[in-house]
Amino acid sequence: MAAKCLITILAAGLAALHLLSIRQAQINTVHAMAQVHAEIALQESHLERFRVEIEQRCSPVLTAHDQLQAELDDAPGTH
Amino acid sequence: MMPPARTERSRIAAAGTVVSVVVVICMGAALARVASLKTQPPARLATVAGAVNSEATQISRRGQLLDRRGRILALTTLGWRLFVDPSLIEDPASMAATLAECIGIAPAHIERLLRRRPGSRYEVVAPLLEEWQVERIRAAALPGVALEQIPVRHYPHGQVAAAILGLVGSEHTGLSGIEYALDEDLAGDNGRMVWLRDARRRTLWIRPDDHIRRADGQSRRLSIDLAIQQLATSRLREEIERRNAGGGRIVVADPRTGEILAMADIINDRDGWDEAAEDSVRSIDPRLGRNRCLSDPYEPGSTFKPFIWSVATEHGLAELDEVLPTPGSLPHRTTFGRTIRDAHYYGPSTWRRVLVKSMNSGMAIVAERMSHTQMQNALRRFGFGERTACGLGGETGGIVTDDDAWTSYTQTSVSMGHEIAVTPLQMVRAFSAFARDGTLPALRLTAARSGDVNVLRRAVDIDTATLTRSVLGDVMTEGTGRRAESDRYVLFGKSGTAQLPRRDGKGYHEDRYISSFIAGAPIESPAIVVLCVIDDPDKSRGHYGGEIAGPVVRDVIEQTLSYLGVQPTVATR
Repeated sequence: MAAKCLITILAAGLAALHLLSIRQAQINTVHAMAQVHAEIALQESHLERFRVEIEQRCSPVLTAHDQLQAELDDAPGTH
Repeated sequence: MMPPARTERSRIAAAGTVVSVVVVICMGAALARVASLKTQPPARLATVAGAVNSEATQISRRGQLLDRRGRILALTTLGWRLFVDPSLIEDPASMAATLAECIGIAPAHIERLLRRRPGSRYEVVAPLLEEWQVERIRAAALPGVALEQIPVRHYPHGQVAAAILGLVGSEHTGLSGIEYALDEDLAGDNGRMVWLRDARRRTLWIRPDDHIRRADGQSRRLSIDLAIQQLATSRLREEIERRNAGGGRIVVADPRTGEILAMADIINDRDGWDEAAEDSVRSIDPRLGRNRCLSDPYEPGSTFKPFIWSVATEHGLAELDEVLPTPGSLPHRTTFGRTIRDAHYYGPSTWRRVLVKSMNSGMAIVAERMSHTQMQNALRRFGFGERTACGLGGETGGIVTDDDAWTSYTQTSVSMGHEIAVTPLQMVRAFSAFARDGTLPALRLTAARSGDVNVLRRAVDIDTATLTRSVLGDVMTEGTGRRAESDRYVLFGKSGTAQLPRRDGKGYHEDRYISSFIAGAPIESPAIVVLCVIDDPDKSRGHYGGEIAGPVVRDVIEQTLSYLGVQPTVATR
């Protein structure tokens, strides 16, 4: 009887440990996911800043008028 | 004495019993401890044992505004705002000094904020931080000091198209312009997430039900082309300064689709000039100012003649080569005794020449052949008195005399573009009928898909539209548009010079004008229509529409068509 109890307790203990390890793995995964999401958000915000900067640097405000005027000046038959 | 095998078994059994008893005692002790922690946690752990959930709002991004070529006109990013909880700060002076060192703001200003409302738990110290400031604040980890994420709207191209785009307010909702008009589409829905965390604030678990994803707003592509907007604005500004004018407006549209490619409105504050156009809100923010291209009607003068000319021609009230009794020297007198003056007297002239030379007398003669109803219907067919509904708020429908108040005087005045007021957008829409097949396109500020054209109605039949366009082409070579003639593209257009109405409503200024010019090109297959209105130019520097607004229209047409890749047509003419 004692032996049966012993085996049952040990088996249940092992099973509980295994379940705990699975649970811990899940928690680690969620934590890693949360960190990845935070990193994505950070990179997204960097990208948005880059977009703004790119737009500012190639704005027609800086380039288009001079370029168009140069094209017109170079074209034959212009006044 | 027991045999050795039996002694061995007894020892194993005894050891097993001891181990199992120890394991059971340990497990029982652990169970008791868990129960004790759960029911009566010690004070040290109570603070972290209860609230193990964290909640955060995921801020949605407002949709982007793009120009017709995909350039970003408006974009939302996330920034950080610095706020403090004054109730948690024991020494405001010391905290102000620390914060000042972190973010580079005067400590006296911060201390004033910290002491301003003693009971407050939320005091904004810096509405928007730079990245380096955020890093310093995070590293400092000061008690009672926190960062709050906020959406920030950027307009990367500065003030170009500012009045069209408008702006968003502190709640990140549209306040004016396109931002307001398309607010429903552009606005997103914030997300929300609740997560289980441990005492060290590490995420342990997120239940699917507790996570609502953020929904970003839709991006919208506008019909505006930033390059055209820029070149039209700078050319208009140049002319306003050259002529010392009170202001000016310019509209560039594609008559094939009704898309507005550019629209600019400039007010020039001049010292010593009364009755100038005003918009006090612009000094607060140019994006809040009214857009006079759609809000402020003006008297179109002779640029209005083609509309009446075409309808009279369509009705057969005058033949193209019919010679009308226009005066050779003295002013014309109408049948009801009104005196009509021309800028130049050419003697009897054909109906075609009346438009080419912009003769008021000829227009008045044929206007008297039209019934009042015919002329009133002509205005309606071209959309005068009716808003264009292009998508922006604050639009007016112009001023058209009521049918009940319509007199013979009105009939002759309107034929010359007087006693009527129109907005630049209405003019461009109506003139587009000549650039098309006589139909009126609906103007739009959002980009059209290929073949996506909303036709409002037919203004004149296709033959009349083509004929009018051809005669307007002659205006550029023989008439009042000669100074706006292009040596790259064949234009068709009309100039207008109207007297500036007095603000007190008592008639007109004798020597102050509104000069305008409207044209389309290329005449064979029109791709753009441009209208330029110059308000109140300094007469000593010129005032005729063909002289002031005409060259602006020509330059903008040349540059725009070149930019759009339209081959010059003059050489192939």
